[in-house]
Order: sequence, then C-alpha cells, then structure tokens
Amino acid sequence: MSYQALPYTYGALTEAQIDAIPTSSPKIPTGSTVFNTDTQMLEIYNGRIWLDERSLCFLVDSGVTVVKGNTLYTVGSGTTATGEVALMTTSSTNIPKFVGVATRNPVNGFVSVAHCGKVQALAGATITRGNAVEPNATAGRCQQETSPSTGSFGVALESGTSGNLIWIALQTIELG
Amino acid sequence: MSYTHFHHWGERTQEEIQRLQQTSEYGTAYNTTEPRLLQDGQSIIDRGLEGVMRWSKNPAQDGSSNYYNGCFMSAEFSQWWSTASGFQNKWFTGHNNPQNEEMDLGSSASDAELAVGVSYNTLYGAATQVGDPPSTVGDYLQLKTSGLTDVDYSGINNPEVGELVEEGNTDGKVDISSTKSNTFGWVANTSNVVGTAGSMLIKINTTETA
Repeated sequence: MSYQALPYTYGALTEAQIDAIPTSSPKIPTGSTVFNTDTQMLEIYNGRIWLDERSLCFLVDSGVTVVKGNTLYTVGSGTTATGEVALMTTSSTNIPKFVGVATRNPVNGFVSVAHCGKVQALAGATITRGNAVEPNATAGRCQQETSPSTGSFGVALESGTSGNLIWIALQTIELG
Repeated sequence: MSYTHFHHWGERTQEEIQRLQQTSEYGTAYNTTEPRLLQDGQSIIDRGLEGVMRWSKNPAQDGSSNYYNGCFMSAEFSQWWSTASGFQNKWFTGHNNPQNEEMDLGSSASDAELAVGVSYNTLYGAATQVGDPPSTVGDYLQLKTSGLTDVDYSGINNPEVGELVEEGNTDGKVDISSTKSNTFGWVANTSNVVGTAGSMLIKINTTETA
C-alpha cells in the first residue's frame, strides 16, 4: 500500500477535473471518493454520478432537459408520483414538491440535486444580491423576490442577469 | 507499509480547531505562505458541534502576497465572506450587503428574514472586491446553515426549549420570538443561558419568511 496525501480515491480535484474522469474502461468503482475544491466538499461515486453530502441522486423525467443550476421538483403525486424530477415552475401545486438545485449536468439521465447550502442557481431575470429567490416563469430558473413569502427558497448572494449562474444560499422552500 | 490517517488532524475541540486554523502552535508563516499547514480536503473530527469537517484552502492572496485563510467545511456548513471580524457563534444575513457573496452580522427583522446561518470560526480579515466583474476575496467565513449550532443570546429572561428565535437585542445575537415571524430556528438547549444572556443550542430553520 503506497502513501497518498489524502485518503480519498482521487485526492483533491476541481469540479472540471472530476467530471473529466472517465466513467468506463475502467469503470469508476462505486464508493470512490474525491474532494471537490470548487464546492469544498467530499464527493462519493454512487455507481452513476458523483454526489456530495448535501445532494441526492434523482432520475430526470423523460423528455426533460436539465442543466447545472436548474431548480427542480418531483413529478406527479400520490399514486402517480414517479420520484423523477422536472424543471421547477411557478405553479402553486409544485411548490410543496420542490427538491432543490441541480449541481451538475445529468449523466445518463441521473442528476445530483442539492437541498441546502451554497449553490449556483440559474437566473431567469435580473437579480440583485440580498434579495430572496423564488421560481421564475421560465421553468427551472429563479428570480428575486423583494417581499419574500410562499415559494421563496433561498437568498441571492450574487447579482446577475437572466442566464447567469448566481450563488445563492439554498434553503427549504417557504410553504406559506 | 505506510498509511494515511483518514481524519488527518484527529479529534479536536472547537478552540483547538481554531488554534490549528490560526497556526497558533506552528507560526503564522504556515498560514499565509506556502507550504501551508492545512491542505484541501484534510479531515478533522470536531468535538465542538460533533461532526467531521474538511479543510478548504483559500487560493487568494492579499497585496503583500500573503494567502487569506481558509475554513473547514461539511454538508451543514457554507463558505462565504464578511467584512465583520472576530465574531463567533453569531447569526449572519445576506441582506443589503455591498459585495457579492458577502455576509454581515444580522440585527433587524429584515435581516432575520434573510438569515443564512451562524458563524463557527473566528475571522481575522475583512473581505474586499477585486477585478471586473468583481469577485470577493478575503478570509473564508464558515457558516453553519443547517442542523444544530451554538448561538449567542441576548433577549428575554429565561428562554425555554422549543421556542422560536429571531433577532436579539445585540447584533448577531438571538432572542425569543414573540410574533413568530422572521424566525430562523428554535431553541434546543438553554443550559448556557443565564437570565438574559449567554449562548444556546438552536436547530437552524431558515425558512420562515412571513
């Protein structure tokens, strides 16, 4: 057994370096570990994707395109619930189904979704730091709310315009 | 056969972790210049809030080519910056801050509405903005953003377990909420509160925005 500076399978890497690790030939062993120097968290490979400790692995609903920073909710309810995720909308029926923000682009249909902490979310309009954030009319994006109430799910800590990834403090969504 | 300790820095109390972070026993050069004492991903067992944290090294340097300080991180913490300094166990807000990713000590109800978390480490340098578009640099601020945390108290006499907390009588400290609006946690333990002051264990719940 040889010495390594960190007791993680791939040591400490940037997010781009982690995403560049080939997932096949050889296959990444399930349970492999790496410290992500961008998110500053330990990630574990679950056999499909890399997950940090504040994220869960979800299957993306068929026909839905998800990218890093999209806000997401779980599709269906009751007997029709699939556990799959789709782009969050402003619909009041989707607010209780909000699950978080995609921290990476999906891999083979599976996506890492953070439910709390410091994440980059995709803006759907001009956002000024210091305001609450809520769902935007463009599905999967967020907008600022100067009088936060039902539907607010965090605090914008960076200013930006539509299409920007901005840093937010992600919190549980306000149910009113 | 050689091996690596999984938890590189072993188990330490909160005070011992801060002394390690400040390189109190090693000399400041190990904090501000390479090779720095603490490296990305090195793990430590925290005997303060009981958990495991991993070091996040700060890559930014000040005008004298000294590195800013990093912080320990885990899933229940987030890393930001602040212009405040020297504070520990105070609640912070993202309300009305002049710099990207900057936090400030919370004081008012409007701050509480946008509370982000409670500070855990001791800060000793203010953040500043550089470049265009501007990015923030400075010592990392480690905020506990979920789970249980210690926070300083300044409020009504003899608070009780289970009550909701909001902004206190002193900046960064908490009080019991009478209106139950703009609260960001609830009291889990009051054994360190004497009368109207001290510190308490709270369960962070930064979702109330009514």
